[in-house]
Amino acid sequence: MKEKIKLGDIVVISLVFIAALTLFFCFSAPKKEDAGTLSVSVGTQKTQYPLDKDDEFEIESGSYTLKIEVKNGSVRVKSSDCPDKTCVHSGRISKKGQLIACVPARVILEIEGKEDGYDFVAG
Amino acid sequence: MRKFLLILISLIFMLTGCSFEKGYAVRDIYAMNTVISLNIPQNTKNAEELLSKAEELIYFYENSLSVTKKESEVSLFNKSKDKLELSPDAFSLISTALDVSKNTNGAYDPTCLYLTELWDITNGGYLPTDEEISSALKKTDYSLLSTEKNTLKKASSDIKIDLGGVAKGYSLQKAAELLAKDTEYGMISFGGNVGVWGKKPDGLKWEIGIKDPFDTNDVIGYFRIDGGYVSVSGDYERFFEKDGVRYHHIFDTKTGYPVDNGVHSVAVYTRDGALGDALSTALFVMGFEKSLELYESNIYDFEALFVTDNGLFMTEGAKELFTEK
Repeated sequence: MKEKIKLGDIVVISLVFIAALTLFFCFSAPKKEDAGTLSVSVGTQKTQYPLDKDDEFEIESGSYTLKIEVKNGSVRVKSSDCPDKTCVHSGRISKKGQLIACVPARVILEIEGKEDGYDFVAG
Repeated sequence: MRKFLLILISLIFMLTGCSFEKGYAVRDIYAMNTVISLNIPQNTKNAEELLSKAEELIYFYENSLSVTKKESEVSLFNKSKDKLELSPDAFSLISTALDVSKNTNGAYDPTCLYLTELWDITNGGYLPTDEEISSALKKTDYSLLSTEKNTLKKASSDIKIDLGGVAKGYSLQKAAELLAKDTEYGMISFGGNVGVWGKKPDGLKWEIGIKDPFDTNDVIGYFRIDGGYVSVSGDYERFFEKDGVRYHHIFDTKTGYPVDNGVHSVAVYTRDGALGDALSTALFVMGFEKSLELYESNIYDFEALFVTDNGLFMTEGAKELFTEK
């Protein structure tokens, strides 16, 4: 027996079509956040910086000053007057799951909004 | 037709729902001279309250186990003449520490406090004289420690302990166990150590990248695991340089100098956080060949990956867990 297409069916088909289109763009279109963002936590304050724009800036925290360099989608602590320099020795980070911490200055640099990378990076 | 449409719509909503579950409620805290990142699913009931509980637990262990806190059990023992009765946690931890010391012939030694204070890497470093090193080594010997019931004893009043090499792994495991009771899955980064539990919503195993000691921007590969702890000891972050020579923070308690055996990083996978922490230091000191003897003795259940001047080396089980980049 032949089924007739009713008005309700057309509405549902349209809804599914719109939902499918939305999903298509969500999953396949290039996301603005694909370049990732740099999240800088100073104490309890969190600030986001774009990773797709080269930049250099200073963070003052406690009695320490950290010079941060964003270059080619990666970030590093270029210099710091903290005592152990572990943050400087951490090198560059550019992937999800990587972070740089300066414990004496209470500063954390983290990569967010990127899909490439790992659940966490150990070491 | 309608049935088909309903199934299609349900599928679309299921797909969209999955993407929301990826989010984590995160708490970053400073304790034990490092940064700790606690991550649990955003949709966990009372997530913030739960994270606060884990945070408090970590501070509790810091207050009990830190060598820099004046009233910690570790400090009280260091000030004591011959013995101190410990809490069950501190006793359990020192027992693990001493066990690893014995089985690695002192490659990991919790009595190395004089050496770490002398080299003072956390404050920019100091290059000591041979006399100073020799004097520190006289007071470095785990065999002068012993346990009885809940009491830690020392055979010489000079002996001091630093549990920094195991306390992070122990606290990591305790925090993970606390969070795991009320969460389906989650992860904690504790300095260089990582702990993961549960099954992720995407059904995939956890991928824990291992930092490349020759290029800290990159990883050398990753462990694919379904839970447990990955501890890493490396020479590439905590160091100072003097006259072109690099002095890092992992010491050979036989010589008193930073280990210089061609090893740059050791990643250990275990189901016991404190053991993994102690072993990563011990294996770094021992090098791959001797570590393999310990592995084959089956005293401890672990897998390990070595990054050395001569390339990558790993235990048999690690070959199955590790994917090189």
